Amino acid sequence: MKQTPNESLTEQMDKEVFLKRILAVQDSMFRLAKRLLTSTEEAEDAVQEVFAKLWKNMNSLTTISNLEGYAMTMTKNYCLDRLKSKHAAQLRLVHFKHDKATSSLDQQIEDRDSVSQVFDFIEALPEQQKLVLQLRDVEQYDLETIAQITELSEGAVRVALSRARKTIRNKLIKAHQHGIETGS
Amino acid sequence: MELKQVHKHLERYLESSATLAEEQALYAYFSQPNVDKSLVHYKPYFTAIAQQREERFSVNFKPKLKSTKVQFIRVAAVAAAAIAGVFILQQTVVTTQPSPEEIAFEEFKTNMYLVATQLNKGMQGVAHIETFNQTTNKYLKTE
Repeated sequence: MKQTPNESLTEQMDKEVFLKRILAVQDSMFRLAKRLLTSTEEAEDAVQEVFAKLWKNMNSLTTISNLEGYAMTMTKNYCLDRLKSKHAAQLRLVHFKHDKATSSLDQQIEDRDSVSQVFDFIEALPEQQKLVLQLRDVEQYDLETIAQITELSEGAVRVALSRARKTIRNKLIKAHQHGIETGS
Repeated sequence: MELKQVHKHLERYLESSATLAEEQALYAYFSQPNVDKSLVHYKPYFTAIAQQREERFSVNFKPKLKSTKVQFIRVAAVAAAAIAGVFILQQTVVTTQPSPEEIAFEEFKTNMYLVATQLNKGMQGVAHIETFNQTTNKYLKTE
């Protein structure tokens, strides 16, 4: 039953509910954006951009049951678009980082800080795997939701997740053995 | 958790067949300071992920919740205040800085004052002549 004695009041309540719902996922959106864009500033911009888009289309979105998942999908798409548009620059950046990591002894010593090393391992994963790993391990979504957000099949999610985890496991083992060999 | 159990969970974890609860158990296991030697290389990963989960979005998103009418009234009020402010400012500028006409008037006034004093001197001179004439007429009787 839709009442209309005070339309603007119910409208405002709808807005507040909507705002609360999208603010509830803001941290997940931010972490996902940061994982994909690798820069805090860019991730913040991305989240605000997605917020603005959601806000603008609020009226058509209130019927969506999984607004949170929708917000995550939008974040993912926005970030992947951003990456595509500056792909060349990104590539150069990755190579630069890689060279630095293998050539400089200081860097290698610093990298023994094994936790920060893990982030480098995640960074080196293909985008799809990075995305799936982030959604599962950090955000702890079930596979069905991840499939929705990534617009992949559940099987594809499972495979990508498995590959990502195994790649990292192998690198962890290697790094650990290397650490033992050099006697640290 | 039993070590054997941890290994089993890890295997399922790598195959993406572990449940969220089983994965949670793994995070709990690796969050303790000491883990088994056979698993120690995994620890940085679980620590890194736990760190990641703590990261927060720190920018405030505050869209307008009020209706557009209220917004318009606010904008109008601000605009009115701004116009009034400019008007008052102009008024004070007028009173503190004299206009060219006023300057000219002041100059004219001083000039006229000077003229007037000179004129008065002249008038006095004329008055002397008048008295002189009277006295002359007294002694030089033409009758």
